[in-house]
Amino acid sequence: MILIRSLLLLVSFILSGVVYSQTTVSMTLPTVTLMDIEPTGNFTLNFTAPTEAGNPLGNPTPNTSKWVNYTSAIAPGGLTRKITASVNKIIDGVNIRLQAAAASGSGGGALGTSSGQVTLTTTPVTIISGIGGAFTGNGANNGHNLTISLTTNTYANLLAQANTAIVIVYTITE
Amino acid sequence: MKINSYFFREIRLKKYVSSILLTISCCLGAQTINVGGSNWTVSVPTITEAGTNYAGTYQSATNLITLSGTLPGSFLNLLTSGAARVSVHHTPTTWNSNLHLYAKRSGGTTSISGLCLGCTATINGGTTYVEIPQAVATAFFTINFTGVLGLGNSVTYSSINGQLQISGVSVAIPATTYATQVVFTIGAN
Repeated sequence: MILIRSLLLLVSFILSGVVYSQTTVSMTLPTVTLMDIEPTGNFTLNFTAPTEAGNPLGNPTPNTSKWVNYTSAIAPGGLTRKITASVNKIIDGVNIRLQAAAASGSGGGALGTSSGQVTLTTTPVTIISGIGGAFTGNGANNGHNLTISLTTNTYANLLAQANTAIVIVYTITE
Repeated sequence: MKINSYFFREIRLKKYVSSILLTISCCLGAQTINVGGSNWTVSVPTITEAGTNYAGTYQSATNLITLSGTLPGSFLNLLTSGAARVSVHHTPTTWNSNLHLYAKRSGGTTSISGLCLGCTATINGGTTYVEIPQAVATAFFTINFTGVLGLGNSVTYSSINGQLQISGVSVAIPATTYATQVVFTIGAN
């Protein structure tokens, strides 16, 4: 009995006395905060004059050609990102409205949530929040589609004017 | 006192025999495996375009590591299946469950020393990527031995090139430094 146990010990020592060797794999992923609007370029929104006395101005057809693309990589436990929008100036009597749709396209990860329709002012307002580690996909038809519209507010403040260029500034931040 | 003397003799005998066999087995030598080459620092390209992600899968050089070692006769004698198995697993320092590691081999040679009749030793398997699990090792490749062992036999294997691959690299996982140790183990198949 002792001999059998001892032989088992010898065999198990040789067989289980397996030898190992190792190598190390390491990889560093940096934080990433990138955002742009696709496609590039300007667009025009024109009010139409009424043809019947007593009728209001006709609101322009909202523009839906723009998409927000972003890539976001955050550190462990890091804060989520948000995207804000503001205009360089306002037009008296006119609301400039923006609505980001839910993300669509080829993206993935913890994509942001739209704030719904907001009225833009010179003070940045959040249009998308809760962006974690995520990417939207690149180009039009990827990311959050933007609907930008103009409506009148206080008629008394309206002034007839030629083309007024408005710059919308988008910022991604924590 | 006399009642227990047989019991104590048996215990003492077991102790002596175990010690002797342990000493013998140590002197017989065990199979070995060595990893040459270098560690792998995965080079992840910088993202420059909003909306894009990492490619996701990256490979090391085909000869990142070189495996070699020896199978002594005392070990070969105990191989009931005639094969030694090289297994692989990884032990992370910092890791993410979305990251997956793979290994494959190319090449490799064996040589048999000592008096051996009709002996062959071949390296088999592992030429396509095998996922490297955590904690529990998985088979990577085998070294198959056939023949009638004589005296002073051993099999030496060398120049087995190892390539690693990582997948699941994405901005969706936390941005930090990940590290793990890939462990190669050799034992009976």
